[in-house]
Amino acid sequence: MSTTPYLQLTDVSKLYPGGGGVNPTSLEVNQGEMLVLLGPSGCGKTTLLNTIAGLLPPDTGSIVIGGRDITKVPTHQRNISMVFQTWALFPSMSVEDNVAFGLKMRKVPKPERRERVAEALELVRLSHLAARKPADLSGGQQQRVALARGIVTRPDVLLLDEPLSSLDHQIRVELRRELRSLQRELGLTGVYVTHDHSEALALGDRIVVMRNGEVVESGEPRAVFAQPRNQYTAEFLSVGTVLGATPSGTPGSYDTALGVRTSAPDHENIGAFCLKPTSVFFAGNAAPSVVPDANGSTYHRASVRGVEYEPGGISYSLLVDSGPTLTLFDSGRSTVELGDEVTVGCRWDEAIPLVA
Amino acid sequence: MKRRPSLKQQGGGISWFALGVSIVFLLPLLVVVGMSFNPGEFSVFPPRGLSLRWFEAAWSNPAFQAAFFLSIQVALFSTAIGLLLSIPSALAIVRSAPRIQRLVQSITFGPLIVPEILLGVGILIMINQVFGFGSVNVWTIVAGHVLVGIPLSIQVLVAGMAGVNENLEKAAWTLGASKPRALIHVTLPLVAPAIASSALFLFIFSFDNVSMSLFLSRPGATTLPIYMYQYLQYRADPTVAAMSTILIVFGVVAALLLGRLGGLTQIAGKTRR
Repeated sequence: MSTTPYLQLTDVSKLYPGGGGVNPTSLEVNQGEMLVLLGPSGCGKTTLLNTIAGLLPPDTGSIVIGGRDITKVPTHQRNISMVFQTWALFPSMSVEDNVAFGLKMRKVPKPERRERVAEALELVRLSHLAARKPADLSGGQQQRVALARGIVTRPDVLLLDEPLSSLDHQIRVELRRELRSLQRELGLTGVYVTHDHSEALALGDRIVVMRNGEVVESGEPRAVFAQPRNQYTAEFLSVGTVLGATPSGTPGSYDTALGVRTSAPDHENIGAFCLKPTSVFFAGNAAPSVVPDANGSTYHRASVRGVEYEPGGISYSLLVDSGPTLTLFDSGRSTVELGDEVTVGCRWDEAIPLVA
Repeated sequence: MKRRPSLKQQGGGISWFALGVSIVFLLPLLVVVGMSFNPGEFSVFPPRGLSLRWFEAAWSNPAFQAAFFLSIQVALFSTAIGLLLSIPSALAIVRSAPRIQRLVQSITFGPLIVPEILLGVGILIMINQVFGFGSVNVWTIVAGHVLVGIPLSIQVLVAGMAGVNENLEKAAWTLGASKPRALIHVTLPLVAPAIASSALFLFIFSFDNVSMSLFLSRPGATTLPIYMYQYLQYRADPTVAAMSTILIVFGVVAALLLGRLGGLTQIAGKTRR
């Protein structure tokens, strides 16, 4: 793997007259790496993807793939592939012809074309449907055809625009896994756009969280989920309860929305703290206290406002008397029910300080 | 292909009403067809017997033949030229910026708003001014027919193209197809039924056009509808009825073809999913 990034966006911006778009943004993707752009709709992630594809000309900045500046190169000369949310298979062509399309456009001789199409269809396990028309396939199958069509041309960069979001949950999870192993196996360099953080976790070597046309935070997905730096990231990824905080006057000390004064050694501009659902616990008969005890925990009276069953346990929404709602995850068999009044403890030594 | 719901499923009364109205509209055709089978010299209905005599008379009439073939020739030219003009226009309407869309759409709708007869007179005057008196010929008829056929033809194409997912062309570009190649390999095959219906419309509009042909054809070299009109002014035998019957058969075949290609639903707007 080379040390210089394979795909490099430098200060790329694209603003729409009616508002929205992307402010100058720089991104780097290494060869064989899958970068996930994560954010809500309208955050500019698809705009950014379209500039890489050449479907939108950027207002400023440059795009380089493998050392070649392609900023002004038309889409069809970029050697990229794009997989769309709506699949965009050619309805008049068979599955086979759809996959062969890119090779035909590249004037690959027919015998080789046939061989590579067969190979690609095998990779996505659709060889038996080669002669069908797209309309005769299920959503998951259609998306696999789109994927085969995207990789058969051996693109420098594979661009994926929410490719799984129109599918049912089960197929989505299945296809996600397949896509990941395919990408690893073939060493594909890719940019994947999604608003679904579980997809980002499953597929990304690196994720970039975006908001309002700006990059908020980026890093390895697990690191970002374990230790978000940004309040927006923590909220968008539902990492835990985000409690607003204001400086208390003493440097490094903050007053949180829960009434607890806590400290954050490293960061500046702290605007909030995040308590993960596992940092909140049922405290039995402990006396309420906003001053952390020897273990760094505080205790609060709260009423149970929501109970959600999840595969590994139960997630509770707890409305604290002093205002905020805490999320608590309990993997044991707690007997707490909806409407109960309980005492909850918060482990402040596990709280994540967040930049506003 | 989806199955067509039966009349009953489509909502009873209204459908029967529509069917009734259609039958009333078609009655004159029934009369004409009936008259064409008269054995006698006069056009009467119901016919006094069954004879193909007037069909033979019509067909062996050299003036009728000339008019018939001129009509077909003009219709074919109008179709070709009309398509060459309306395919790019429709593409422009579907694909371009909203401002250009509106401009192109209003320009192409012009001929529908202006009375045809005025257009005919206008073109005649223009041709006389530019090329000198008496320079009307096959091409001037074609020009007139293209003008009246184009608005509908464009609408059919626009309806057909609007149904094509925009992402298909984009997908083709990302797979290495230049814009023209994406158009040829991806979009046009999907629009082919619309192109075929639009061609049929152009053909029919030209074939049965009266007002344009009236002004733009040379005496003695007129299209079929004009010839039939002139024939009727001097004679009342069932020849014209026989000619009409031939044309009706022609029209029915064309309409069936149109229906098969989906052109009629495209004109009426899509009511089904």
